[in-house]
Amino acid sequence: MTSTFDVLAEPTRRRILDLLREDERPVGDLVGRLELSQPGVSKHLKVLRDAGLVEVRREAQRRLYRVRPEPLAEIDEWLAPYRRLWASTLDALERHLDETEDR
Amino acid sequence: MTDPYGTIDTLDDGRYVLRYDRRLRHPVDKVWAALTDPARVEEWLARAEVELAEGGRVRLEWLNGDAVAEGRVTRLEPPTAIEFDTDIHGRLLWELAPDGDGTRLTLTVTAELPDDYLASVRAGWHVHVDFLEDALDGRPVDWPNWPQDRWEKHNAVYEASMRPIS
Repeated sequence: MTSTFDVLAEPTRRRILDLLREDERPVGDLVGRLELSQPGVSKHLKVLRDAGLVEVRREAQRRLYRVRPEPLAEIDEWLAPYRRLWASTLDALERHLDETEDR
Repeated sequence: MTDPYGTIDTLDDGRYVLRYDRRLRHPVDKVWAALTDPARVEEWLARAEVELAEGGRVRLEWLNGDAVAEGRVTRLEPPTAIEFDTDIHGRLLWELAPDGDGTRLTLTVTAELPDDYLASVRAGWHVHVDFLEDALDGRPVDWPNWPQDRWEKHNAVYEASMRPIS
C-alpha cells in the first residue's frame, strides 16, 4: 500500500487538496484551475481516492470531490516530536534573547 | 449496417456512458486476439501490458500522446467480454458476439468526464475503433504519423451533435 507521504510527495496532488480544502469541486473545475488535462487530473484523483484523502459526493447529476482529512492524522502524528523539537528551539531562542536584552 | 457514431448517456451518479456498436468483417477469435494480445493492441490502441486474469493489472501507454492508463481487468469472459477499470479513462467494456461470418463489437466506456472533454473523448474512442477495423484488415497505425485528421473530422461531428440548438 502507498503511504500518505508518498501520495502527498507529488506537488499537483497537494494543490488538488488545497483546492478541495477551499471548496468541494467537480473534476472539470480542477482541470480548469490546474491547467492540466482531464486524464492528468483523473489520474491524481484516483491516487488520492485510493489513499482515502478525497471522496466523491453525488449532487443531482454532478460528482463533487472533497477532502477526507482522516489519513492526514498519520502525517500529524509523525510531525509531533518535531513540533516539540521546534518548540524547545524557540524556547532556547527566547532565553537567549532574554539574556542578550539584559546586557 | 451499424451506425459508426457512438451514443452518449448519463448515469445518475454523473458519469457518462459512451457506446459504440460496430459490425466487423472478422471472426470473433481474431477480434478477441486484437483486444487481448499486447502486440495486436499496439496496432490500434496503445502499447499494452495486460495480465489476462480477473483482477490482473493493465497498463496502456498511448503512442500518439503522453497518456498512460493504469488499472485492472474487471471482467474476463473469453472470447466475448473483457473489461478494464482504468484510472484515466474509466471502465472500458468490450463485448463481442458472432454475427454471420463477422463480429458484432460493442464498446462501452463509463467515465467521469468534464463537459469540455466530451466531444474529444467521444472522437478519440471512435477513431480507435476505426483503427481496430484497419488493424484487423492488416493496416496497423503508424503511431509517429498517426492520422490526426481523422480524429479531427469525428471531433467536429461530435461537437456539432452536442451543440445546443438555438
